[in-house]
Amino acid sequence: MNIKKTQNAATMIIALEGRLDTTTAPKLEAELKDALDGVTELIFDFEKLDYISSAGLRVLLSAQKVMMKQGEMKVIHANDTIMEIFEVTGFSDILTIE
Amino acid sequence: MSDYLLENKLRLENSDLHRRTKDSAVVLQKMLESFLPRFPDFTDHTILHSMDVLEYSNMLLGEKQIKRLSAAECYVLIMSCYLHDIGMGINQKNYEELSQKIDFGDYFETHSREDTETIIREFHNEYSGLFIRKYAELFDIPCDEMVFAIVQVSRGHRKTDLFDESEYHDVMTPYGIIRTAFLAAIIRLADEIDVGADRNSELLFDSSKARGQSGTEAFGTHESIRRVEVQPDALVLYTKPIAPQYRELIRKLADKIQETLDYCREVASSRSDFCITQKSVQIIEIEE
Repeated sequence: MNIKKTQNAATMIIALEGRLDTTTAPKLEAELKDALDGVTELIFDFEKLDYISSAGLRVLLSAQKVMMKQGEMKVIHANDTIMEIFEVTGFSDILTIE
Repeated sequence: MSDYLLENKLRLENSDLHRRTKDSAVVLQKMLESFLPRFPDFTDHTILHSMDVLEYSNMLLGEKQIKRLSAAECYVLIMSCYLHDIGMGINQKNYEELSQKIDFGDYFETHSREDTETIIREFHNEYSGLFIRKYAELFDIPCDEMVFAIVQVSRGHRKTDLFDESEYHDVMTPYGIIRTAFLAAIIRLADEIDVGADRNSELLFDSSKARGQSGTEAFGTHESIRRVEVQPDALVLYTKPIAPQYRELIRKLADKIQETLDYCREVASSRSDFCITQKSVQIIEIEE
């Protein structure tokens, strides 16, 4: 999985490519650790993300927990497979998805 | 003490599999709550019940037998405890899709196809199995053999024939052997004995929220069983009936648990070299 992180002032965009699963989720978790200080808007761009498993969902949940204290978080460009995962897991009720 | 023995053994022997169970549990906590809108008056099938079943599985197995399980078996049993009721929470789209794959037998000769709540409740173990198979990737289940084992053990928490060797056979995986019949017997019994009022929120067992006589009786019976103790040779129900008529209902439930215990003991002894040491179900009425 590739992670592309860009920051403009207090907005951070994280674009993911590949699969976010038990193998790759620790990498994203490590990238996010300490990176969210001062960020008030966090955007996950899933345009090139093929799949997300429970390990990836847990990382999203952790990130959202941080962002709820300091701003907002949203997921954009999720494909149909990932949208189905969000719906079946109930994460579509928790996350802001555009 | 048998607390968290399965979890600790898995953590020590295979931290990767252990992490997969933890990640799944986070997601399942949300997923299992989704049954509540469809079954507002039904007994607990949330993650709390899953955790109870896991704890009872630890108790029924005991330390000596847990030491003999493979890492694969610990993983499969933990995941099955979490997932066995997932079929209760399926959405309409999955209900329609998965229903096509279930053999309902002659069920619809006497039941309505419109009553989806009852259909799901009656066949929820089959919906659980099909759901796990469909979403195995979501739960990061590492190989097909393990998917098969989790499906079979989860389905096996009720109704399925654990003596059927074509359905319940030993499975070899890169993480060790999985004796599916024995694990299914453990989860079936653990699920059956999660009837104590001490383990479930009052909201979920509040008889005033139950609809119909059978619902009221079921909730009242659960309220009357204050706790369940797994002793080395017996399962003990400590009871305080909320009304005299519940003594008979508790007796009937104890008989049902005894039937399940006898069946699971037979499965364990004839289908594996493990055992279930408990022989009887006892009722002890207490003053609180």
